[in-house]
Amino acid sequence: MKTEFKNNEEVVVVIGSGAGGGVLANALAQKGIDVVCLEAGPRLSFSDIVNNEAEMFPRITWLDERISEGDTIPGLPLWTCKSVGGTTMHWTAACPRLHEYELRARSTYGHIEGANLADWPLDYGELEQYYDRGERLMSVSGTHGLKPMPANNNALVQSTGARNIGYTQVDTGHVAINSTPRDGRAACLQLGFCTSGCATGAKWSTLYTEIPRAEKTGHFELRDRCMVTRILTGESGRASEIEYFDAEGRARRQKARLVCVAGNAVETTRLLLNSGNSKHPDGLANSSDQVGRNYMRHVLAAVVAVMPGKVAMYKGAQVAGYIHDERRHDTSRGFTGGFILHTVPFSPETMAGLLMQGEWGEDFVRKMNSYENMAGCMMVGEDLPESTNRITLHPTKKDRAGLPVPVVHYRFHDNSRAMQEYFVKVCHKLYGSLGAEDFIDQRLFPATHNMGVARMGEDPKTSVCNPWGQTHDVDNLFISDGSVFPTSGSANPTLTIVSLVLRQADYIAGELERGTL
Amino acid sequence: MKTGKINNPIVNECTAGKPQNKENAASASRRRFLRSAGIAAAGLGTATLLRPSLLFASTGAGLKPLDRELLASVARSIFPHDRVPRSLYIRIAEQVAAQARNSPAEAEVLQPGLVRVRELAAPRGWPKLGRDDRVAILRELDGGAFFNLVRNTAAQVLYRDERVWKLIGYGGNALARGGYLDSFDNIDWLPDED
Repeated sequence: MKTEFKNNEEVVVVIGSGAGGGVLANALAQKGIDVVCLEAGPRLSFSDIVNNEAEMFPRITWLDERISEGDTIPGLPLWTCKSVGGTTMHWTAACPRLHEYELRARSTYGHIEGANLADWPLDYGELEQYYDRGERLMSVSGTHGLKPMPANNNALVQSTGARNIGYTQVDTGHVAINSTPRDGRAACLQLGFCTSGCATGAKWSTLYTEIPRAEKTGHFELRDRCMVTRILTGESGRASEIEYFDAEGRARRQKARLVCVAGNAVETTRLLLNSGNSKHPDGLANSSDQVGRNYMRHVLAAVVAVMPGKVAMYKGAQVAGYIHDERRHDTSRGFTGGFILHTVPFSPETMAGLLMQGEWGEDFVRKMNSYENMAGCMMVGEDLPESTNRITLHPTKKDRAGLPVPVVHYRFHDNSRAMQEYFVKVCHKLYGSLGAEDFIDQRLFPATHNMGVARMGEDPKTSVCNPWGQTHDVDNLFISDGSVFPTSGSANPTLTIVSLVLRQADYIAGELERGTL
Repeated sequence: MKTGKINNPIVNECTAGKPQNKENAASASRRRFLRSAGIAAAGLGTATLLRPSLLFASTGAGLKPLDRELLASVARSIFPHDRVPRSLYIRIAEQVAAQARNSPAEAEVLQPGLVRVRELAAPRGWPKLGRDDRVAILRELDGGAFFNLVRNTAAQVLYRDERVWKLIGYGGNALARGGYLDSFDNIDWLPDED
């Protein structure tokens, strides 16, 4: 039977149902804590997930207006999801861990002009324990004795080229896609449509793992198509209630003993900044003026090479091969921090619309006619936190819900540009060693990894949250997504988000039990 | 350049009986939503990936035959695929017109763009120009709103079309064929790894 909490004031309200919100909500529900989870997007079923990019893009993507500024793509600065499952719908399931040096960015790298580096207020050993739990929860292939995923053609080209140019840390890595049937879900059919939602459920998504599991506990209620607009605070300044529009567009309220925000960087920022009141004049949990700042998205770039033989990069799991050799701090390369290389495929439409945006003519058609011979590689590099890379609210422009439209301001640091150029050179060498005939390089993508706008730290003057994601200003308000990252490291963020919210769930349960919350 | 009917079984097989997009309440409401989201307007100058779908039904109503021919020919000069049938380039022209009808921003771009092409093609006229002359005209227009409208619409129509997918070797719906377990790792030209 469906659990309904009405407007019970003893519930924990979790905003968002993706890697952060979905995992946190289930972890709390499993502990017997009552949770109401609000998700702005709809709940899809497997029959809604089809192998067609053009159809799936509008079905799962967050398309409410966001204003792009700086080095971002006009109209779509980020590619995030509006769907139960959040970005676990379109993620590629790449699950590398952060390295220990990446948690100590300030100590390891020293001062870098323009960057607002910090060490994580967290012991690596403690994070490792939660990484173990996160990997088990998501049934990550290649970890804990689980069979690694197989390499596809795209990955075989990449790994062969990698060894040709001297790389040694080359594998199919850790991926939250079933290499064998596990966890009540099928093994991967190598469809190649990971970013359009997995039609078989072989890829982990909270939509069909954490959410239904939470529902079985009787301590969880999902309200989909509910857009939260404000968090209200009571006399004491604590979070007491939230306002939202329900699926029918009616204004509603829900009382809460505790509020956890997992909206992905832009929406998390918007909600906090839009919840200002006389006790919190600059927005909720923003006495440090750090909410929305230090927005990071990883240094991205991709190289597609036209190879001398057929590859069919579109076949198979999208992230099917990794190179880890460049994941180190070695300034002799001309930049700080490291990056991962992994495979990436692009559909013909994305090749024409993004990778070769603006190109045309005989040369374009010649490349497009070689589509079958293309191989693709992408970088995920450490992005530096900068105070001026930030999410703000437009002073006058409002969207349909009456919410101020978010402005995404982001510029590449010189360090990022240097890292991109190094990556492009490496890829040309790698594919060149196998006789690549042509290259297509792209340095501008809509961001899918969004981090840092509510950083955690020990000092309330320079950070938004404490080491458990609890805001310094409002003790019953938690941030439960990638917003809490003080620095980005060079690992795709989902595994770290999942691990941090598992840790947060333990902390919340402990505090509730002790009566300190 | 020849734009006549292509006698290619792969192409012709898929040309017949393909249903046109039908405008219905759902797509109209989605269109309104996309507009309010600012995506349609943003599409003018940005990657076609970011236009979530072909927003408007391509009936082509209201497009003069000469304009349709000119737009289709311009589209073919932008993406000169020898083996893609003329009918698909005509669809691009109709799609461009449909978008112009439904979006004030794009409507302001279309007619002046056609006028400009004709000016640049005078006195001989576009249909009589050879490939190099046509390319020279397009270089002149490259980066402008009209060029972007035609280029991005053409990219979307062409590279979302199953006939084109077959020609360039993209598999499309993998689930319908049970996935690629049989061929995702069958590469045979790589040197053996040690």
